[in-house]
Amino acid sequence: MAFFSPDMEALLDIYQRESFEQLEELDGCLVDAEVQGGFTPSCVNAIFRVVHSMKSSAAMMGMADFSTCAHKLEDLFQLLRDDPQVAQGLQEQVSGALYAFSDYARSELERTSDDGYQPASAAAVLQVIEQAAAALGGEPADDDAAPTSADAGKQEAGPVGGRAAAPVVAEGAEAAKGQAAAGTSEATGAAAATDEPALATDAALAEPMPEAGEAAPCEEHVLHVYLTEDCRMENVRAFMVVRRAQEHCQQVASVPSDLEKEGVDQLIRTDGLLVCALTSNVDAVQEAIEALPYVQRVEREAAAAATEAASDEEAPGEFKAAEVSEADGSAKGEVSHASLAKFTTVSRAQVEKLRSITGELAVFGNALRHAVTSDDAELDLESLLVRQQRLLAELESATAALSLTPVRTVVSRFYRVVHEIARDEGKRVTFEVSGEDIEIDSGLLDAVSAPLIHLIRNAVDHGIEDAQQRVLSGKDPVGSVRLAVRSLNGMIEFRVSDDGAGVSDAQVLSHAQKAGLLDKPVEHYTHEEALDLLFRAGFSTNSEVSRYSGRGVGTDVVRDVAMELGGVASVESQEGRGSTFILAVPASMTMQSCVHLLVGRHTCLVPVRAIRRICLPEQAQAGLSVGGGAQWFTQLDQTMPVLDLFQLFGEQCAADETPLLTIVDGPNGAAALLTGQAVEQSMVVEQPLPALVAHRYASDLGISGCAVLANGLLGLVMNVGQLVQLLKRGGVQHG
Amino acid sequence: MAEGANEVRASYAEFVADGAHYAFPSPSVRQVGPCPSVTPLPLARAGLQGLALHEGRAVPVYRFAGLLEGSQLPGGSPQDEAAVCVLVQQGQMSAGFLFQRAQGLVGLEPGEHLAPADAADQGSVRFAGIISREGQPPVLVVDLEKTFALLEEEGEQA
Repeated sequence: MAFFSPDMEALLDIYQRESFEQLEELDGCLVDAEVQGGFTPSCVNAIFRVVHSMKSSAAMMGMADFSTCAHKLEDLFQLLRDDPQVAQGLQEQVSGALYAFSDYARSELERTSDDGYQPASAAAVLQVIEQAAAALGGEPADDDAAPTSADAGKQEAGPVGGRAAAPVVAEGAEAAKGQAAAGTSEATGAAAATDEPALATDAALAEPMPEAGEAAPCEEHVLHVYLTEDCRMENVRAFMVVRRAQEHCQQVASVPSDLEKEGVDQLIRTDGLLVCALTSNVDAVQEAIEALPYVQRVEREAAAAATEAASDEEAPGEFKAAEVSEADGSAKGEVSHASLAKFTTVSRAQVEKLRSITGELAVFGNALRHAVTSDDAELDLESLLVRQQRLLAELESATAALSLTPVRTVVSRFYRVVHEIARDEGKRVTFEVSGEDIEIDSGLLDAVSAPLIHLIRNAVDHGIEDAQQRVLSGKDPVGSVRLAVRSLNGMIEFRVSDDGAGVSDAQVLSHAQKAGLLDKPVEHYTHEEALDLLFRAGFSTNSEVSRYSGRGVGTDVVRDVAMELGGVASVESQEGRGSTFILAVPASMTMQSCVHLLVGRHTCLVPVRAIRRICLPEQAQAGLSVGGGAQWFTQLDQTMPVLDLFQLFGEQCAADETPLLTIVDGPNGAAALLTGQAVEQSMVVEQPLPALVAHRYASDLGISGCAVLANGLLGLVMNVGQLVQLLKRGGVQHG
Repeated sequence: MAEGANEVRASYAEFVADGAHYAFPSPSVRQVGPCPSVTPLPLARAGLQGLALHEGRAVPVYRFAGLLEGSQLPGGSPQDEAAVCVLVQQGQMSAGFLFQRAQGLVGLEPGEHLAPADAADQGSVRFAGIISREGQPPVLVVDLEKTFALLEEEGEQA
């Protein structure tokens, strides 16, 4: 049976979007805390606010464990709000609790889209949060406190009527007394086990009903409010509904929770507003809301939908435990970014821009129709073509802009990786990021996140020495890891640097020799070639496999990802001074302007952004030289290798063909490509090579993809960075 | 004829290459048609003819006979003898295979099984079994999963 009811299912998208945004904000606060060296009051307030919102909306969706976790975290930060000094020296525990919650919440949010979703237990996360609370002097941690599958067995049965497993409100005065005896103002989660919290067990349910004269206990109710069709400014009306409900309730929450957010009016118009009310008299609340103008009807959701949205501190509520399953066991910091990529925030300006292009395309279509049907010899087809290309470029640009995301949205997880590995490895490391405001395609950001995490992890784990060793080397005991992002010539470059031990050529070559990875005698390897071995599959210089790295798995994947994206991965290192790993990928993942260069039977498509100049041989003659068995080209005091694409592709240059020299700039250096004639320049839509052939052509021949040509055949899109890389590592004979 | 007598346990599409008969499980066959325009790939390995477009996506096209060990028709040979292109799909992977001709459909009756074909594996092609019919040439059924895995592995080798 589906966990979410149809009503909730309809709200799932907006719930996910809001919650992911809140998680991002939470992660941002964690980064601030890392940078500031502690939780500032504004940071504490922001976290409290975010967690409170997440608690309410999770409860509204019936995600009891999720909401309980958030509630516990909210309590934890209440302690910090009450006494900011309480966290002194305990930032690790507090951060740990936040990280644990963040991981759990992200995993749950991502899974909510799955068919057959059922909430995972939050037992492990609750334990971490409670331990942190105990450290801060809050309620004592209790190892048995977190809900377990056994608890779940004792408690309420599964979802009722397709509704999510909902928190069960404890009944009875004894339960409330139990709360008071516990000396704590809250009773959710699995806390205060010693005082028999108001768990909705059989025993709790068997408690006597309130006696006459006692106030009826507050219970949670969900009201689905539909507004009339002629209602305008639905968000304002919704605000009035919530306000009116507040007059009759201890606490009220709503979904959507942020009524001021753009697009909320449309959502309320189509799906209505859900009001979660903690009240002892839901009839009065419903009547009050129905009396408001523009309210068409109010439907009460099933009792099982009662949630802890408004339980807050006085509520004697308790969530029933779901089945226990360990939280996601993936490596820390490796949470997927996929669900974030599911949503894109679009500004009105962007919508207007697309609307404007659509209008222009309609006008253009009319002009084209006229041109096709007219026999007017004066018609300028050339100008129509130019206009069509301009519109296409504008459309491509406007579409690409829709998925631009600032790098900063993924930076928090990098901080986390550094933080956790440094802590676990007993190292002191600072982490700095520059260029985090650069906006790149969200798909691209998604694709490079995991490789960057790997590189950052390696920098802390392998690169940075322990403090004692650093001091002996005359370095600051605190190591430094940096991520620098920059946009250059249509490429996005990520540089992960550390000031650690650097890479020893001798050590690399020794390991490579043992692993059988050398293609030639050790003494023939240059420094660059030795470093390049780091990207070979299965290579590792770390003699001990650590918790995080040293298995020789990963760096080769970094290069594979770079090549798949039409980019390149490289490394610079100086022994004793540190290393810099560079990942450079094209900024655009869709269309790009390319020059079509013929090489025998093949049409090579070289991105215009990478081309510095195309020379005729007679123009280039003065710059050509031979040395070391290879051909070189010198221009403006820069000498670069010549790569003969005929030779690389096993093709022959026709006797009557005049070869060209195309000077290209990759993110890792320049090269001169010897090719046949340039036939045209056009916008191409690159598609990946089929999986059966992709790897070899990408790695050995620098072909990142292909694109359909005007004649229906395919052109080969060249990855300039990889071609330069091939030359550097001696993978091809040049000249 | 009794009801259900026409039911077959499995259906295969049969093709001829280099004079021998081969078959793919019918559900894997997406399209059978004339040889498409193939864009050659540089330094193509034996059997690989190049890339062709299918529904806007590039798929590799192999001369089936060229994939077979000891074939008299290496991959670089002209396509004139290959009259039919069979586009097959296995999971996320697709490829076109060029044959001399399409023979038709062949099925196994309920209770019939493919005869083992372990010794029949040739070159880059793996077989799931053999269909033997009286008075007919044997039909080698291609194990697409293993064949694709092998082609991918070969494709990754530098």
